[in-house]
Amino acid sequence: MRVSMTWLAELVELPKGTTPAQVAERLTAVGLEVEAVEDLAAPLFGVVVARVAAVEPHPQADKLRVCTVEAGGEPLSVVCGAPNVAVGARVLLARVGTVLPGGKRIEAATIRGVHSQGMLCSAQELGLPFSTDGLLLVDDKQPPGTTAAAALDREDTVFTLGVTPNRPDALSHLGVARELAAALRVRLRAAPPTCPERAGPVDDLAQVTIEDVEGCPRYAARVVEGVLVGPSPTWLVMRLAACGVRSVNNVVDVTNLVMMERGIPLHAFDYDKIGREKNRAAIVVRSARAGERLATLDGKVRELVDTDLVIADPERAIALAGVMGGADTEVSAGTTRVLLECAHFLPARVRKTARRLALHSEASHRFERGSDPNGLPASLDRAAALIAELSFDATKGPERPGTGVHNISGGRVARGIVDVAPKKILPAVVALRPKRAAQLLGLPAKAVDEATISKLLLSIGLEVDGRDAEALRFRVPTFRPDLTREVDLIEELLRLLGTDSVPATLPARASEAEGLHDPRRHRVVQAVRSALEAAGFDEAVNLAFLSPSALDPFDGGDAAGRIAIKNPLGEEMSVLRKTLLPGLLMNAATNHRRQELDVRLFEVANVFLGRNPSGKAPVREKEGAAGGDAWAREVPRIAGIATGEGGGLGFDVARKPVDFYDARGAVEQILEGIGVPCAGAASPVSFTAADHRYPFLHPRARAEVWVARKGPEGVPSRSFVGVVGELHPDLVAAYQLKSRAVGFELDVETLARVAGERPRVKALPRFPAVRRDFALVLDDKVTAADLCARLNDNGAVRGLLESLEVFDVYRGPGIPAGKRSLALALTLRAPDRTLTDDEVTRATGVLLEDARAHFGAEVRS
Amino acid sequence: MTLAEIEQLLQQSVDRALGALAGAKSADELESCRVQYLGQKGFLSQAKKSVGQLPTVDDKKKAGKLANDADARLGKAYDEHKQRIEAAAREAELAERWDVTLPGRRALRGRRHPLTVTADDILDVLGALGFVRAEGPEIEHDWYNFEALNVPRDHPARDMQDTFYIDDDVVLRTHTSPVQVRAMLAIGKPPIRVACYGRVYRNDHDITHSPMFHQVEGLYVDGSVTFGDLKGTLQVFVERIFGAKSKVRLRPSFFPFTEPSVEVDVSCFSCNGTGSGGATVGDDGRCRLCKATGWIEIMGAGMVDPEVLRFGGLDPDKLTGFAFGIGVERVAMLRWGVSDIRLFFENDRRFLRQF
Repeated sequence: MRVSMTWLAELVELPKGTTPAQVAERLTAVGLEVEAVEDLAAPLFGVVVARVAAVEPHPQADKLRVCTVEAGGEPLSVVCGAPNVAVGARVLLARVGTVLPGGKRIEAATIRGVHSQGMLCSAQELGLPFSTDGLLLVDDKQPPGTTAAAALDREDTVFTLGVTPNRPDALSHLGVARELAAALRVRLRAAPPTCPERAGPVDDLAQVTIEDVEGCPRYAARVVEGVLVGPSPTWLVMRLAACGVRSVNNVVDVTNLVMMERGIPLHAFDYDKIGREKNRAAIVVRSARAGERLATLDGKVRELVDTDLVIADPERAIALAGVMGGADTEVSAGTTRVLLECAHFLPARVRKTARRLALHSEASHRFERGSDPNGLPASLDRAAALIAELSFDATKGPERPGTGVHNISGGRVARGIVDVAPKKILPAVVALRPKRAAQLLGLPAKAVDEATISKLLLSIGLEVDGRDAEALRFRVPTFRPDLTREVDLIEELLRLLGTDSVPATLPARASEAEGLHDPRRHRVVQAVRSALEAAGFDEAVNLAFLSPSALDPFDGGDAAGRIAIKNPLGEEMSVLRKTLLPGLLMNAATNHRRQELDVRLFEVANVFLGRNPSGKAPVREKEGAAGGDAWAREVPRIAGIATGEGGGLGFDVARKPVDFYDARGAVEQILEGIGVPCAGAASPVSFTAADHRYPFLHPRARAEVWVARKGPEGVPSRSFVGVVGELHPDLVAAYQLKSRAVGFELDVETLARVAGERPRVKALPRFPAVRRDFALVLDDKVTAADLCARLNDNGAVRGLLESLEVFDVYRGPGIPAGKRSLALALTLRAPDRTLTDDEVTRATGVLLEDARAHFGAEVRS
Repeated sequence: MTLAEIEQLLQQSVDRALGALAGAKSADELESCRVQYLGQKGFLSQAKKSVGQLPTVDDKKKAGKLANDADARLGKAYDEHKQRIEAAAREAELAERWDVTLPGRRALRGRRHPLTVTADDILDVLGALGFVRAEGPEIEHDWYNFEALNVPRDHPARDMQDTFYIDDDVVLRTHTSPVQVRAMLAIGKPPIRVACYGRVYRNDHDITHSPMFHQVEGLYVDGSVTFGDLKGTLQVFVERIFGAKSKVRLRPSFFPFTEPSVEVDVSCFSCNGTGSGGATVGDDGRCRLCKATGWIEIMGAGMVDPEVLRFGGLDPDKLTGFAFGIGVERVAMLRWGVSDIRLFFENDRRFLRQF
């Protein structure tokens, strides 16, 4: 909402010297946020009224003339090309040094050999809201030297207010003025408008029938005769321009002006184009008939549905109630009689139609929020009187000084108002307990005693209705539909007292409940973040939207299991993610395009895995509210991706392209980070080769991650944590990555379930360990895990084999094809003695023999 | 071996060994000399072993003395030379000069996302103020997201948030406020004091709006919670998040789920609320961060609307409460001077690694 300071100043008794900044501060403080302040005069700075004293032809150019102008001071010589420059005309001169709204700077210049000391301007050149052929001419009464801003009624400041949807009253100057007066504790000038009636009774001219009483509780109309449609006077054009409304003609402009002034939209019909009944223009307010058509003012033909509310005559719809008028009955140059409509429509009905047709107008904006049903007569009076006044022929009489209104006006307002109000809307009566106000706001009782409350609420238009034992009763004017409850009035008190008046206190009682989340899961997520940070992964945050095709490689195109958005920002953001990997792949691609190849990223977020069977509708009780009634299966995941090279940093540290083991290492670090050991015979973790169910992973390096744990009643079970692997080369190509990529995706709930409990500390060993290294040549098919599991389980070394690690893998010269050499480090230790050489040799001998017998392993010397 | 032979062996070998020891140029050469001459297979061991086999006690004594003398001489020579070599090596080491300006060896450390850092800070402060965590689904029933928050269908307040719809009754939550109602229903009895962090969605995409962003919601319901309590809580909150000198300004506003409602402004921490100067001063001397107003809007807040308490299964005649919601991206943008919200979601590592 754009609000004019000059206009406000007419409606509020502002203290002398009140600045726009002060007004803005007060409006913001009472809840009408001033988002911008615009000085309308600023673009005209340096432009003044000048009288053309002489016009000479330009010696060098046919189309240019050399003018001598007086603008209060020495006469100036200005070269001008406009056809309408004439001796005696009052024009606007941009002096040397002026910067015009388009950014053009006026310099003293020599134009084809003639010196020019400024520029005479057209309306367009001054950025004004109308256009002129040639120079903009101003009134002869404006003395030379007057600023253009003063001459053109542009000495004004416009505030742009962010009006919240609960405050329809603030969508008008009168409403804003009321707030400002209350905020400044000054008087509002709000005398009801008068309307001289010089024509016959309106009841002989028009009738109104309301068929849809629910949709239209009240409809009022006036008729003005002798209307002369034409351009609006400057003051009206400028006033509307300040509000951001373009001038159309004097009749339409008046309806807009009254809407901006009083907040209730009006519509002007060409009276003679409305269908008749018994010789009277007959207005019917009814629901549209399905399939009915209406050509609206914007030139489009609208097909209507039966929830739309229309204004009709006996034959057809002539306007879309509260949204837009019809083209057939539009006021035009030939119009001589006008029927002015001012009505109250049900907000939800207007909103529904406006939304369905995507027709958001100033009128629908106000009706949707709730206009004042009892302000109709005053708005009609104001508009009708003004239309009558402005219906003049400029040739027929002098203007009343300073008003733009001519004494001889042809307009005559018919006597009376057609006012049909089948459903009276009365002021609400709301009780307010001062004690409650003090209690809710945290104010001492005396700060909100009865006298203070009454004074404050009366200042914004409420009236005292009476009192009960503990409460005051107030009548709420119908322009404030938002005030229906005690708490609403308490908010008004807070607004008017100012939030600064409330002392700040700190509440003491903390929650006793655990809250509404899983603290264990939260701890696990934070531990995983730390582990990945240590592993060199940066955290990513991606939007939850994907294109359907991005999911295809992950779910095989299973559209049924996806959750789609009905109104997406675009096809590429139309489904919710079922996996975090596509987002990370996109991030890797973004980085690669920008020459950043060594990418290590992880993300923690929910994925959306279809419907939750018990989430059909909200269950408004404990279990449901705690998440049981969630519509979708929302599952938290942790995923990571690595591309480019890995390894440590340093001038002599070898870096090499990432591969599967970098990803697996990250997963191991995550597991270690949440207290799940990944090394040693006691580790519950296993990585098993994965199959075609993970088509997004490279067949050569893809693994499922499992963690064994004791299930209920001690039954051992294992949990599937997620997958890790090299990403499929097709995917790498599709995302145009410049290197191999590896990644993982793990389920957070499962991680939380398998996370280690707080460990019990073991005593440190008291006797030394012995390490023996061997290289075993084995068939390729024997996995490291198989070999280690077998050796760890050997009974002969129970209690002695402390650890068994593979520390090198070799293929190449000396090793037959289809085989590889695994270098093993065996660490042996007895808890109660130092092992002898013999014992060690015997134990390793047993193990090597076991490996030979079971896997055909040869010791490589 | 006879005594004479032992004597001869020792005589010949000791000189050779002394020569070899003296000629050793490094610790390694010296060690191989030691093994060669003084080790188990060296001449000295051989001589010592032979001593026991001599026929007479006298011979044994003589040969023993000779062997011991040789051992002592060689041992002394070895020790002395070893010390010399070690001293020389240390000298050489001390004379070395390494380039200390070369970078060290280290593992690459990852960074937490700035939004995570910001949210954790906010939640830590709220935790210290007695708020426990709460979570709720991101895909939400219309009822929780709107109706239970006092936003009926066909109400203009729905225009305040551009909503993504999954179907007519299901939306991507437009704010974390539905968790208010969930917390009231699930926890049931006061005091209810929760902080909810999560992703929210709005159909809007430009340099200050992302279709997905993050909010933290605070809710406190109890027997006599006042607007003053809200004010005090917010004051502590902004001091901890934006600095001890920060001040709070509450401007009346409107949210359907609170009454009274306020917008919360924090005094500009760039110009210290003066509107001019500071780290983000423009060419005209005005502070660009707060557009010279001295204040920055950071969140919405208010007293929980009685209707919302009722939807949450609580009695608005007996309980009151306050709630506030803060945009995490907004705080992060203010903190680090991020001017384009999209940077948070592009995940360019050159951006991520600045935090």
